[in-house]
Amino acid sequence: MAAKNTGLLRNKKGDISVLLLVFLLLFLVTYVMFLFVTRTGKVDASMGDARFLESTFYEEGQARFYLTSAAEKAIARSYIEIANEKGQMVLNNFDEATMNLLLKDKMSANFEVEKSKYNLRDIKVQSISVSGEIVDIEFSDFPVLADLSDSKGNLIAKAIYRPSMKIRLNITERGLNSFGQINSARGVCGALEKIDEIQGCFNRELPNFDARVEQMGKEGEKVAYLVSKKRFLIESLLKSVDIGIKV
Amino acid sequence: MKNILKFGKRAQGGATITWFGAFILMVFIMTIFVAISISIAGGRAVPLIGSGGNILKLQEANFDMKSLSSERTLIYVLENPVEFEGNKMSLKDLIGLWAIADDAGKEKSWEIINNNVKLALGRVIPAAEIDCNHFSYNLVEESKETVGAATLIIPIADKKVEVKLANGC
Repeated sequence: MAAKNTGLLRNKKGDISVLLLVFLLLFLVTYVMFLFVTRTGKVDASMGDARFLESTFYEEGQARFYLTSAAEKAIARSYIEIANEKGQMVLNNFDEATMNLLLKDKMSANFEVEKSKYNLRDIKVQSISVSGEIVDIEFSDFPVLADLSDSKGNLIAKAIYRPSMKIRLNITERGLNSFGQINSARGVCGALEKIDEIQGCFNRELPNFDARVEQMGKEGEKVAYLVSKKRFLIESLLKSVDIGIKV
Repeated sequence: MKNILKFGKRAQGGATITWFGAFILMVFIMTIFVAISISIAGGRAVPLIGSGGNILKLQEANFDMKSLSSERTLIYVLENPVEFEGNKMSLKDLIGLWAIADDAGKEKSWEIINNNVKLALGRVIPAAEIDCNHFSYNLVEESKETVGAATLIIPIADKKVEVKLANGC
């Protein structure tokens, strides 16, 4: 009987340990499940205060304004560089596609210079294209961050909004004319004979430029000097875009 | 009989020590497992017990309010064409010129800027609300956002002009 009792006692002690182990395992599994349910991304956000969206759109609008300003300056700088590099007879014989390609190359470098003046390091240029009077610049998605706090100022969450940014600039609306328009004006006005007629024609065809036509040499070669009416503030100087073309 | 009992007790003691050792070891392993789980789980904790569940409520959100409509108005104003000393330019460039001008130049451009801002605001804001809008521009080292106002920066040389449009109504 004594041996029987001892055996029972031994079994009971073993059972309690196993039972404890099972309970601990259950606790462990439940706790880990709890952790992953509460800390994964599956959280429904109930947004009663839509002003939060305004905040993110505001940041996006600010970035768009800075990028547009930088692009406008980059276009003006590129026009000035092209005219200076190639000399005033640059537009004697040119095709629009080549000039647009040149403008695109210049734009890529100048845009980075202008963009660096703003705090826009997170925004990277993906592509630049020039077609007629339209310049399109596409950017990689960039994070707009907004901290969401409760009424006591405690941080509830950090929200990240990634707008897809693309800006389109119309060269004519920005105070210049495209190389296509300049070339087309050259064709139309070049057919005229009298200097004042040619000058009037350029002023009509290219409303963003002031044209002055002069006769060069004895052979009657004419050159039209185009000066943009709009001035651009580049590196602390107010600059116009000056282009000379052989008519 | 006595010998058997004695022997049986020894066996009982050995079995208990084995279980006890195994128990301690398992608890130790579980503790490590829980610690690793906590460290690799995401940082966001939402109460599961109590009110709220896994719903993030932003009913009483308290964030720096930035005026989207004021920002759009301000951008429209800054992009407006102006004429200064026979030169056509945008208002943002004229504000840039103001920043680098001498005192006489500042005074001249100040008047043109203010007149053009009034004209531009008049085109987008109803007459009754114009006085609610306060336009200002200052040279700053670092820009600071103001609650309820739109703020934009115009960089010029090594300077920065902070332009603000605040709606006071």
